[in-house]
Amino acid sequence: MFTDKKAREVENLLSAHIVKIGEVITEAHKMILDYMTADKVFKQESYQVHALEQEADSIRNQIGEQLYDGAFLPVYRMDYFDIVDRLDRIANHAELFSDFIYLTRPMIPSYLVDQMKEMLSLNTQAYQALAAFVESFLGGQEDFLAKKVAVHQFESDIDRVQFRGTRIIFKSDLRKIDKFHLKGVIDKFARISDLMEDAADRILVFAAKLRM
Amino acid sequence: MWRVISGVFMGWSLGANDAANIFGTGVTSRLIRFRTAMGLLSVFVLIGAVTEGSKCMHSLRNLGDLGINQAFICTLSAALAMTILTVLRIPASTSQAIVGAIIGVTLLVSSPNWKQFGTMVACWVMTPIGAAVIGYLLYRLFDAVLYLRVLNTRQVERFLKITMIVAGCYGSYALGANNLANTTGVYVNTGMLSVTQGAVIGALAIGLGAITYSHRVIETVGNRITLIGPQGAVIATLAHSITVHIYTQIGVPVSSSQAIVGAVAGIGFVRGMRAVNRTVLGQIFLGWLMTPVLAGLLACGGIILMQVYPSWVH
Repeated sequence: MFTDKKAREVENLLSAHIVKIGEVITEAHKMILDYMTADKVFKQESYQVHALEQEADSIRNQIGEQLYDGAFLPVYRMDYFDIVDRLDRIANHAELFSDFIYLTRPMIPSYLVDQMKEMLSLNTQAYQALAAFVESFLGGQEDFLAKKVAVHQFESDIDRVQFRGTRIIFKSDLRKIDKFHLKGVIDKFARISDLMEDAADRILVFAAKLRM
Repeated sequence: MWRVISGVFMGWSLGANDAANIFGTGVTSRLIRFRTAMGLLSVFVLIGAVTEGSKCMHSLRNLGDLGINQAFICTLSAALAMTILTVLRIPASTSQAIVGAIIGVTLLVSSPNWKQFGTMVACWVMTPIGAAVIGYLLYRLFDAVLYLRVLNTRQVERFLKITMIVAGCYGSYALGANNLANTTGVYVNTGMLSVTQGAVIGALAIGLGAITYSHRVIETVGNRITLIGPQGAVIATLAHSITVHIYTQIGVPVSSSQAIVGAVAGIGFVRGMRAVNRTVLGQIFLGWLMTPVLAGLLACGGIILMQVYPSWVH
């Protein structure tokens, strides 16, 4: 009655899912950096993003199977699956971003490279904060709320860079079509951190439910 | 001795209906398995009946003196009233049924103790109110003391399972101690059974009802969980058990169903939601009125029948 083997298994899979999503994001970052430096390795990296995202999907499905098999109380299973689903959307969107670069080959001007690199750096930090938040939630750590705040902070920073980058794009002499193309790049990238914040919010809702 | 069969019927009905008040939310939220829950319930009802079951029998005796045949008519009428009201989907209380039946019989054959009856009615009214207050206070206490710690899902689940078992066992004990009088109390009061015999027969009947027929009732009770969550369900069970046990110490058999409804309402009040709608409140009032009246009328009919055809109970 008091064994929680299946629940532990779900938590282990959730940790593995977090690691795998991190790998998807890292690979997507490498891909855009190599694309900006005109390194043709970006094509291989784009395929690698696909492969890693599929592995993340596989872990997500395993979690679903464990939940169906009876891990956690029924009243909490939907919350767990929803959290995993929201985390998985981060990987899905990183893949979408990678595909967008690979398929549409946007022309990224040199004066926008720094904005992109800053967004990449902030995106990495936001995901690290999210991963720490998830782990602290799983471990029932006291400071997990502070880690949630960090995710929100990085997301806000990315929003600011997104706004600045968009302004630079539309002040430039680029053709209208290229401007909107670049705006698509920046918006799609910023969306990844939006999804990180959404996942963190959902975890907080569940944590509140676990309390009284 | 065959007359005890109506007490067994009453106990079976009580077990079938009231097991859901104790372990219903625990079973439907999968905090505890049905078989485990009913096993624990049967054991702790027996312990409660043997150790404290006699406390509420005195109150029934104080309502009016009964002979063996009258005791049989009382329990049979109460059990029939319970069955009829359950079929009509009106929440019925065995405590109110047996008291109504005793009043009905004593009205015909002697004079009821109206002061004792008044005390009982006051306790019935106070049962859901008291349970609501205890539920409210327990919720606040749990919130303030236990949940200062940040717990992960597994820790919360383990805590809920343990507290549900503790609260359920306590609730079963309180049910056995309080409601035993409704099953075999009148037979003990007539001297037909000893207290221990009455406790064992009554408790076994309650256990039998819980094991054989409570599953369906538990399923319908399960929707409470969506209203108050598993934490609230555990606290509601505990509040119900404390309430019923308090009335055992006073010596008045009360309604387990009304105690749990009150406890759920108290928790709902903390959460700022409407845990009990007007329909549910209306059903409680209808149950308060209908159960003793119907049992009393059936008992009067039984006594008249016994006087016209005295051979049918011999």
